[in-house]
Amino acid sequence: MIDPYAAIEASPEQQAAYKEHSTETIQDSILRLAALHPIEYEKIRQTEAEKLGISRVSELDKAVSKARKHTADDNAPFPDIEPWPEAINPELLLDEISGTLRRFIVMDKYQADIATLWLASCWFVDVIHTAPIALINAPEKGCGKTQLLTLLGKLAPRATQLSGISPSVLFRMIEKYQPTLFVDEIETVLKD
Amino acid sequence: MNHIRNYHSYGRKIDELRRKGHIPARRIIVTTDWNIGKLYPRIVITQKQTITNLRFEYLAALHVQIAHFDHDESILPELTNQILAIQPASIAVFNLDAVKRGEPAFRMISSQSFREAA
Repeated sequence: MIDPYAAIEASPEQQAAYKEHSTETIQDSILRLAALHPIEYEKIRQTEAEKLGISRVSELDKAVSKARKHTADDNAPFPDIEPWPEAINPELLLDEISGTLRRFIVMDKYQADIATLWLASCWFVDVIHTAPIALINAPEKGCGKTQLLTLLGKLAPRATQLSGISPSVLFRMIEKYQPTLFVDEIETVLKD
Repeated sequence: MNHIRNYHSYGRKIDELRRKGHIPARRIIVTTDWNIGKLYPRIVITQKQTITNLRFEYLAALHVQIAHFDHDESILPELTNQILAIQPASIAVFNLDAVKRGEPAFRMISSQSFREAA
């Protein structure tokens, strides 16, 4: 399948035009600079400070150093999902997710719809009183249970796929991150 | 005071490419309908969005085509103005309803190569 976002190198003219119009905020710039290797940052700090209109380079150094520390402290194993800036059409979104599930897993539409609604409920876990458990079952091996589990894990918030984890680690993880837990072969975990 | 603009749907994805010095390999489709242009790098703008609150700078020097329906005609002037302001390599408009009626659907609004030739 064609990747619509397949990229090629921009020409120098295209890149110059982008830079001319780019409206990167100061915060964006600081985050970008904080992500650079210190030597790379050293090479461009003067120019960047001038571009941002900061007269003292040491001020930019301080902000970048603070941002680096913040990034290191915030070492959560989950990406920070940014809410969509505009209201979305929930019906279209859910249909698209259900369709995506059926692209990868052979299942009936109603099953994909149930999985989709379960996924949606995961994102509202802070405001719902009862969180449903999704139990994926199949009549025989090789039906795609783990495949579905993996796919749901890509779409759920703070998804964590577990196998062979100790109860203490599990407890601390739930306390700290409130993850969506995906446990493959749960019957082997719960055998005792 | 800075006027804070938002990304429209998929805009951030293209902006991230451009920050890395890359561009999408194919022409960018600006559409008003979620079902149009799925095979292309696209940005989706709905009628509810205020065009002047959106970011377009990542379209600078790229080829852009607006694909729309008759009922979206009203947002076209503002949309083309905003995109023209960041100087795309070309900007064209394609009316999908006009295709159904058998009328000319494609209109080139501005093209760098035409401008250079003139």
